[in-house]
Amino acid sequence: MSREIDPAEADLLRRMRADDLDGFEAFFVRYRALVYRTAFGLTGDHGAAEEILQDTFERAYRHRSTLRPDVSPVPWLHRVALNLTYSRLGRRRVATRPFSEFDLATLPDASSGPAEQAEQQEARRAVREGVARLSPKHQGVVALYYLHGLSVQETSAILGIRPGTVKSRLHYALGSLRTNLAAEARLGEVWGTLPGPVPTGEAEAGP
Amino acid sequence: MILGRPSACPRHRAALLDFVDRREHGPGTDVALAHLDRCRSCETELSEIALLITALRRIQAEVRLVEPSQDAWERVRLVAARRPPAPWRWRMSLGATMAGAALAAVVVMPAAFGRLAAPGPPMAGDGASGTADGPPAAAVALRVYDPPAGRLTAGVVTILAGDDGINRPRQARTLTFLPAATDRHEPERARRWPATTSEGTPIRATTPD
Repeated sequence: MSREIDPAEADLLRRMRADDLDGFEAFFVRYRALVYRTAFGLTGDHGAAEEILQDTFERAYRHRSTLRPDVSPVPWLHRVALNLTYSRLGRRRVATRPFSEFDLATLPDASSGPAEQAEQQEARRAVREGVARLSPKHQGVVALYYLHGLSVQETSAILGIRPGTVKSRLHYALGSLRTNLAAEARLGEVWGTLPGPVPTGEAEAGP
Repeated sequence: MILGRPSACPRHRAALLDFVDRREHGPGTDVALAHLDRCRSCETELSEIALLITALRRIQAEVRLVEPSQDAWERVRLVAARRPPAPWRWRMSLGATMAGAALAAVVVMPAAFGRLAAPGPPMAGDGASGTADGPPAAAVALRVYDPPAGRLTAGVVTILAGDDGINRPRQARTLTFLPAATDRHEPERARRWPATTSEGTPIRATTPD
């Protein structure tokens, strides 16, 4: 299953293949937000996201002759952005800059106190690090569905997989994320008040 | 798990997750919710996953507000512009360089050797008249073929004559060197000139047998 490509997208790819720099600029404008937001969502660092954006499009330009005009470049771009993001996080996992004051001001609950904000930052960091440990195919659906807020159908279309596969990957990713964080006793960071690891046994209490 | 039925939880969790995450109410949702009322394990797991989803949604709320900087395109453009050329281009450049080098080897090198080996004026009795063409500068030829003058090394002569030394007798008539003054304009005629000294005496140096 592959995503259908719209004529404008195909035209951009043809222009890029013909070394048309204006075409490349239009390609950049069209997809920059997707790449940048993926990178920012997973690093929480504007500087890192800018570098990943630049590297992703530099690769796109370098491989322009291999981009097929009949296939959407979005899954490829998204995959490259994810790889670059995780490569960067792996290199300097601790060095990502915390959210700036501006970032905090944009949070829905920015009115909370410094302690709560710090807690939320730590929660986001824990989640990001958990996502980084998922397999690439699970990272892809989590990034598109949760970080970009796309629907199951949109995620399915971009990744070229069936909606049911998107759902099953989401279920697996969430379960895996929860298990990993619980094993590291970091679920508490996600919410701040949760107790430590919770056994995942099948025992069921009666009503 | 419901006592005696350990597989009940996994069967319901997908439906519960769809309901919690997307408010999807499918055919199995009601049964799963009824199971949730009785199952502490599912309740705990679903609560934790709901927290994870909330954390992810908060990240999403931040992500939706961010945009790349205004100069992002300019930086990408510069990176793209300074990229090395595509492989076929550098292969062409390499090919052109090699062709140029080959051309230089064919055209320039013989001319250079000819100039180094420029002989003296033509000999009387030879096809070309020394007087008619004017005496070419013989100094170069003398330097080459008059080692006692001490101006050239044996190595140079060896290269020119294809010999291993200058002391071995050579056939003057086989020497085909260009006078320095005429090497560019009359190469054919010049090549027929036997080497002579500046006084017109044939040089005793010979080519190898």
